[in-house]
Amino acid sequence: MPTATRNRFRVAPGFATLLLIAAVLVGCARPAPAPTQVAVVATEIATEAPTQAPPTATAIPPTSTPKPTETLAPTDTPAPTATATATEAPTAVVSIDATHCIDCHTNQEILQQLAREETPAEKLSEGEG
Amino acid sequence: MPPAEAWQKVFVDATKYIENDPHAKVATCIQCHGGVGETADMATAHQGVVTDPTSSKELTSKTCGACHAAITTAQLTSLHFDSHGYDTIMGQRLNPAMADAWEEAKTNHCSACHTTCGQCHVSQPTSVGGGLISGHQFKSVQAFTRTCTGCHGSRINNEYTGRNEGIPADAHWTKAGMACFKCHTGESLHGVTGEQTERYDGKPEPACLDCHPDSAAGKGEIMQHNLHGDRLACQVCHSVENKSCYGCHVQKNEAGTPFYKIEPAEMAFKIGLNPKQSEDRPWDYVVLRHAPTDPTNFDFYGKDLLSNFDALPTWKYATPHNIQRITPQNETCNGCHGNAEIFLSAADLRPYEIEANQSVIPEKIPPAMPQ
Repeated sequence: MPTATRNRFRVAPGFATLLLIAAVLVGCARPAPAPTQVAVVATEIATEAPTQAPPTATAIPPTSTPKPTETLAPTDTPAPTATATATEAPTAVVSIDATHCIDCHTNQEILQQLAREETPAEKLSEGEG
Repeated sequence: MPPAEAWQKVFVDATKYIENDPHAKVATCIQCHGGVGETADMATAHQGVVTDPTSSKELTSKTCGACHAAITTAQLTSLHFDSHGYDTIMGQRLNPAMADAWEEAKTNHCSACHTTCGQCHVSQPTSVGGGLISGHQFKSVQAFTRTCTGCHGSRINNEYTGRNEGIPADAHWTKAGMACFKCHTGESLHGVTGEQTERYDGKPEPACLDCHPDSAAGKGEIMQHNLHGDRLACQVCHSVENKSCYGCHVQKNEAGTPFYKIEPAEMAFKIGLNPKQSEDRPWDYVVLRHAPTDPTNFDFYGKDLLSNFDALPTWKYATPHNIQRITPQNETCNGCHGNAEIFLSAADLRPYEIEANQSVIPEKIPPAMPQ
């Protein structure tokens, strides 16, 4: 066996051992730390949609909105009265159909029958205005 | 103002408005005026109706402003809309401790004299009884006899159309039949050209020289124009006797109805020193007209309301609307020179206004010219 070939076989077992150790070390190691990836995502969001709330906002526990006490609850949110309901209801269903307005206001005879001259209050004033 | 029958004031012309006016295509009656649809009962139908949906800034912005935004925005700060010129002028005479009393008086007696989009383009002004002019047809310019002169009547209209006995009408009317808007442009009337604190704030709008540039000193061949230069306002030579008013006193009756009593007006022609001299209005001499003010105008609302009465002259800067080419004062040199009669003097003043007018009384008048 030539000398060069012998040397090659002598080196090969050592290199294989090193590869094996490296493979074991890699396999036992912890995965790459997550914060790096999160930071990238946060940056992308901030660049593309600046008006959105930062992602961390959702992580804030709802400590700033305490539960209303029993004492406050009835005072702050009174039950709607019958009057309030009656006032709001017509607004919601009001019609903009002006057919009747037009029928009447374009009819000279009807208007002449209904017309009433008001007495001007200006009679009290004296002299040129 | 021509009288209108009660029914005419609310009559909507089906042809002019409903069928042909573009405003009828973009909104129903109820969308602008409120009220209740789908009922034939008159009282119910009129619940919540707003006669003039341009009577407040909020409503105007929603109605006219929806399509005519720029001009509406300007209009809402114009003198025509809120009459803030009253505050500018009376505010200077006002007792600062009585601002509330002034507000009450102004609301009762002065604020009716404002106008809105609708009260020029659709109806007569409310202050003269209101009423639709052309069957609710919107017009960029309605007849000035149904709009402008409703408010600017006793002085401007009477002067312009020659209704003061013995005083000729304005040459712009008799010779050219020019309506108000020929000189007073829409931009100016709507305040598009800039906010004004009062009528004569800023440069003249309109200015005589806009149409008569050759009348400026050094620009034409008329010797008198070149001689007098910028020392005389045009009206000094070209207007005639005009109406001065005195002592308008306001009050309310037992029922709370506001009313006024004003002394008889007087016709006069008086030249005085320019109370508003500026780069825009450089003249030394202008025509003055007596404003209907005296220290007791608002006594009903507070005895000392005009405690700073002397702050402004009662003979105010004026631009009478009775322009003539030839007038008594320009017919000959001595129609003006040496003619003390036409210059304001202490003899023209009432005791309460002597101090207020010191700044507008010329110390000496131009001497008579040799014949």
